[in-house]
Amino acid sequence: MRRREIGKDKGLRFRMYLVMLALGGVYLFFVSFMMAMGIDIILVGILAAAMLGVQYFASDKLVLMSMGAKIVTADEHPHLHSIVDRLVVQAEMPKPKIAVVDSDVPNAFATGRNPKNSVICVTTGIMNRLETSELEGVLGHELAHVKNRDVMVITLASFFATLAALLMRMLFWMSLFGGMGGRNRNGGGAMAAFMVAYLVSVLVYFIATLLILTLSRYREYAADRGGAMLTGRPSQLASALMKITGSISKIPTKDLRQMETANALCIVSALKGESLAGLFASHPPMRKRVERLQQMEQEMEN
Amino acid sequence: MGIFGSLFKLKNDSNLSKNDAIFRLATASLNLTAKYDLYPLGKAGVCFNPMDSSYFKELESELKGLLSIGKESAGTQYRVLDDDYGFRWIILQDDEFEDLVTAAFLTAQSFSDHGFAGRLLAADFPFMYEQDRIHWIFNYKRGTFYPFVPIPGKQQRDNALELSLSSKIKEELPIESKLERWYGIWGAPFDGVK
Repeated sequence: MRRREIGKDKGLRFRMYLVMLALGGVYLFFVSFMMAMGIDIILVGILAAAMLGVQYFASDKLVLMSMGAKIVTADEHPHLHSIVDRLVVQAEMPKPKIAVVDSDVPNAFATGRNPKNSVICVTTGIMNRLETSELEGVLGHELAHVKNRDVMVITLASFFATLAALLMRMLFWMSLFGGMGGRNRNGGGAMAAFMVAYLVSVLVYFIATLLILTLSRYREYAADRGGAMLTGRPSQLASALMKITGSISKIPTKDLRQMETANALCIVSALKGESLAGLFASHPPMRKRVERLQQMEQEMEN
Repeated sequence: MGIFGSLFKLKNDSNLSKNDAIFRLATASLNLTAKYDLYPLGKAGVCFNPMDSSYFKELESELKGLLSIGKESAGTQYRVLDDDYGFRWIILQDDEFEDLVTAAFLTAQSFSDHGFAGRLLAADFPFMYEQDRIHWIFNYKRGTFYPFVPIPGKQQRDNALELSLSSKIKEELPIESKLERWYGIWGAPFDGVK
């Protein structure tokens, strides 16, 4: 019997390709425009590639370091490892490393350039709040990110945006110098050309960022879908999403006495909650994600 | 009394009214029992951060005197216990819920009178709901209550039950509106008292 493919959402795929096409168009315009202006885009391109290359190859370590995450072994977190073990066997993919951040803010993320070098990270806050089945839903979502190679996709998509940002900065400085030296010579025209190139860079950067964020939201939907297919229970991920973004997420899981002692040592009160809104700007609204997952649940029933 | 004195007095007064809010639980407890089957455990705990200072010792000995009077007049038993966090507990025991609230109020009052209001952490009023223990925790500094339902044997809590309980009783009890301040207190030494 043929294995039924239910993981695919044609509409989502179509929109994703559309966004990528639009990005390609913007970038093509950008490069040809700059070349027409006589700006040595190749050199800037190499610089941007080098920057992104470092980011790409060190992404796992960089992200883990900035989040204060610690890689944990199966002995330290047997529960977490056993859930991931089951899921990776089912998904036929290599097992990623698992890391934990000691933070009360419920969150989870995946990083790493390819499935072999990937790390899945959860906070202690999310582990304390979610039931095993909900945690499985979240881990499934992160594994889907790894399998879809989202780090690579977004890095590639960001290449020209980074290039535009670099050029923007360089042109800004060059226009300052050009403006000073240009008095003696025929500098007025060069100055105007710099200004135009600068404005185009700004515009390209802005549009590209919007498109990348759109793409990122589509990848989130895709990971929701992939994760739900993996666990077979979309409703569990939906419930986890509601828990970690709803009012429940605000109720602390720490002890009052622990907080009182910690606050005495901190200059800035640790009671001030961290805002998650900024972090989730690249994510679709929770309500829509939950709606789609519930829709999926119904599709699976039939 | 100079300007500083009056400022100090003003601050003290506002603290007093915040302590007052604790009495709202005495009335609310009747409804908690009648409508929602929450029965007082007959115990309450006042948790504070002790200090190595002769002034604080003075406060503690005065408190003991006060609580001894309560024991004779109202029959409120008390014990003083230290927990693993280095915090000290006055565990009160009385089948009359109102007496428990009064004793917790008077305790806080003594702290305020001695200028140690800042050392007071919270008062904890445990109730039984079927097999579960529901705690109503009073934050002296803010004059608000919030529910705390620990899951036995783990450092986890039943958020769903907490939210539903607080929405049911919010008309009668000043509920802490900032959810991020609903810190739990696991393992309060209620069972250390027989």
